Amino acid sequence: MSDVLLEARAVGRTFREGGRTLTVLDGVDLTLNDGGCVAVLGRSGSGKSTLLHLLGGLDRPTAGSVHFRGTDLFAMNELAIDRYRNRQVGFVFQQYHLLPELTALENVRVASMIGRAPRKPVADGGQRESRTELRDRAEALLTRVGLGERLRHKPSKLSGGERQRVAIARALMNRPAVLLADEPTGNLDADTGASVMELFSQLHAEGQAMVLVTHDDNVAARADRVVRLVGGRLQDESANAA
Amino acid sequence: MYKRLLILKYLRRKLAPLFAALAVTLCTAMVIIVISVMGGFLDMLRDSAKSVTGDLVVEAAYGLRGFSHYEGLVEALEAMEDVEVATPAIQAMGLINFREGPLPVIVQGVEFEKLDRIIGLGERTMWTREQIEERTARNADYGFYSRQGLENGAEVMRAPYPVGPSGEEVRNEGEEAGDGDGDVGGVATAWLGIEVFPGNFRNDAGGYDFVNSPVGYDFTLTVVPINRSGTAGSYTPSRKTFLVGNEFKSGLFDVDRQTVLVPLGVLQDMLEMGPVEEFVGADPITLEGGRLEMTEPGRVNQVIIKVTDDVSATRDLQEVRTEVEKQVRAYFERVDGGLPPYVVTWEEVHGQLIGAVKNEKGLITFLFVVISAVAVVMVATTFYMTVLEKTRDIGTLRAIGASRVGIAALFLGYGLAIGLVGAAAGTGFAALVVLYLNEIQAFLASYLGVTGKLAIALLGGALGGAIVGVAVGFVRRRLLLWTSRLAIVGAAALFVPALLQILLQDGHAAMLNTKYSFQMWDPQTYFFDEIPARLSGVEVVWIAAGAVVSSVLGAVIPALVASAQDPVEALRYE
Ligand SMILES: Nc1ncnc2c1ncn2[C@@H]1O[C@H](COP(=O)(O)OP(=O)(O)OP(=O)(O)O)[C@@H](O)[C@H]1O
Ligand SMILES: [Mg+2]
Repeated sequence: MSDVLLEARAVGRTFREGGRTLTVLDGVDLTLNDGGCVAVLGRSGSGKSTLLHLLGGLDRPTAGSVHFRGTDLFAMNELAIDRYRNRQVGFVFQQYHLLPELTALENVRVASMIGRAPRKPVADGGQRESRTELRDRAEALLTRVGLGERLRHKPSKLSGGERQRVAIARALMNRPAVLLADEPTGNLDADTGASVMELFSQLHAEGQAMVLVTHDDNVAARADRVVRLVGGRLQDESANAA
Repeated sequence: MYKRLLILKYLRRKLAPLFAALAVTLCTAMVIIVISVMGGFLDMLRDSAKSVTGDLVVEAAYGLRGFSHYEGLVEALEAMEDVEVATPAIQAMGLINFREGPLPVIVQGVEFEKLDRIIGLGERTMWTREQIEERTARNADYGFYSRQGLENGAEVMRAPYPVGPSGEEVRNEGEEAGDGDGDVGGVATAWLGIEVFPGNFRNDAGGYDFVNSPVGYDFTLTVVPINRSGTAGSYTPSRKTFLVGNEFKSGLFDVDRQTVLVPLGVLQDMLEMGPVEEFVGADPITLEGGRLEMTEPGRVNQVIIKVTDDVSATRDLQEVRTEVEKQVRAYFERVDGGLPPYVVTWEEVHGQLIGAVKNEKGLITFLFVVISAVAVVMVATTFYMTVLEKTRDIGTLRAIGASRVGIAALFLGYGLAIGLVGAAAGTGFAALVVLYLNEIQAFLASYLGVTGKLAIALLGGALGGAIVGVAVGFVRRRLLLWTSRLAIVGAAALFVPALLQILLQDGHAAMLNTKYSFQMWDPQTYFFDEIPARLSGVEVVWIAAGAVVSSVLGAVIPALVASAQDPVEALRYE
């Protein structure tokens, strides 16, 4: 009954490497509903990251198409795709990918500094947020992920788990429609990883749609749906929820 | 907005931006300093050339043969609205002899008083009246003047024309105003360019000492008259004794080395260019009933013109030149004076000299601009390294929505920022150097020894301490702490004794300063006693703008490389 948010239709991605063609994705179909959570499993090198990059408009498919709320993503011009990444997508990477020169707070705010200021939710009037509002919200997000005391720390002064929390706060800053997380706990020890996953669970509970790439079956267990990439194709593992 | 934030952050990063900005700073400063010094040199030359020549010169078409009717011409010219003063003059080659062998000179016959109004001759005199009078009195005591057959030294030493060094009228007591011909007691006085007399030497400071000056000495001047048809054949060389009345310095070496100023009337007589009067109409047998008549008018070969201040400030001199030439032509037609003289501007008179320096300035500026291209390459390299180093961050920025244009703009903006910082610092540095160039030179010439010793003690101590500090720090695993700590200790250990020695040991400082000195500018070699340098706002703005543009250009290729990076690849980059 919920609307389709993001849909991959027969997506293929091949790489040319030294005259040989490597088919990583081969006719992948995937549907993510509003508020849904899909976990993508798969062996290393199976193309999970590649799929996530395609869903986030960071890479282009060699076959098929990706639709966001019914619009063909790659039929749009480049600037529109950039804007899609900025406004609708929140990436979280295994390597955190924070900007080393910026403080935790600046790393969170930088997403909202690209392009014009984001709008408030329609319920709150839908105007663009002011600088102070953005700043306050970035602080609130960091507090929410448990880093209220670390606003002015540079990434180099933060632990791995803390860095990943900053990255999550940054991904949430522009109120994305979908969160794309690529093994967000891959570099963290079990406890830290669990607390980060707890954060994702909470976000999911609040209705945040997301695609989680993971090796971890425990993580996968929390998702509505679990798919596995095998030989460039998706296999449906289970459907935890409707 | 994220670009500004990141640029500011990148600027504060360690060494790479510092080096790039430093390269821009040095190149900017270098070009500004060179252009300022060369420009100052050129300005000074032009200034000297202009003020020693007047604005316009009417030159005889036949050179030494000259032209007649000049009195009327001067009147006609002075009647012109744009002309302030005009004065006739003769320029001829001559030989002077101080009993040490003849020297070739350019003799100028002038009306001193009028020439003073045109070129400010009074301000260019080397010696004051007091100096001259003192010398005169002393020489009179030695009987110097009586040996010359002149009765009264003081009389001879009278200012040779009625304007003193500061412009006031100088007259001996009880004396009528001079008639301006400078003919004193039967002996004419002449003014010499400061470099004419072989006994004049520039001292260490680039000045001249009155003790060496020939003021009051006599010399003979020999010229060769040229007759109306332009040959020297029918006249024998004419010779006359002059006294040196004073010396002047124009600032143009060529002028100061060869110019001798003498009263116009005297030179006219010597050159047989004066009016010829003959007794005409007398009975050929009884020689009665005749009258004295001027059969030939006097000649000069120049008229020197000063235009009004108004005109020189607002109008192109060439325009005025054309008008004056028209006037000259019209006048010569009226009096039927033959081929009219032509008119040249001061710039044309000194065209060769000015052109040469102008060329030099252009050439040197070009060389330094080429050197500055090195700075562009340097900035480009630094940027390229930065881009490589920032590859992952570029991927991150793309992932959170930055466009390719945005990434390019980020790095171009970085280049612009470095250019702005470098150009500003370079301009500031160059301005300081140019404004205080003479002070810096004086400092280096006088205090290099002491400063050098203190600086070497300070730096050497710091370096030595730092080296030991690195070793100690390495062992104790606190590298930075021990390096900085021991560097300070080492600097103090050498600096304090050095300072004490300089302060307490008699003569040590003086010895150092005499032994080690660096003279960047030797006033004895050049003709200006100061390094001529001036800052031109227009030039500075152009150079600074050029530096900024160069930095941006240096950033273009790296910026394009950065923006062309595939975001996924960039994220994978290790
Ligand atoms: N630019 C590229 N050129 C050639 N091959 C590539 C390129 N990018 C990815 N691949 C290949 O595509 C395959 C899938 O890569 P991908 O990073 O999507 O794997 P993954 O499932 O995320 O693996 P892991 O779990 O180790 O992160 C790999 O075999 C990789 O070598
Ligand atoms: Mg991966």
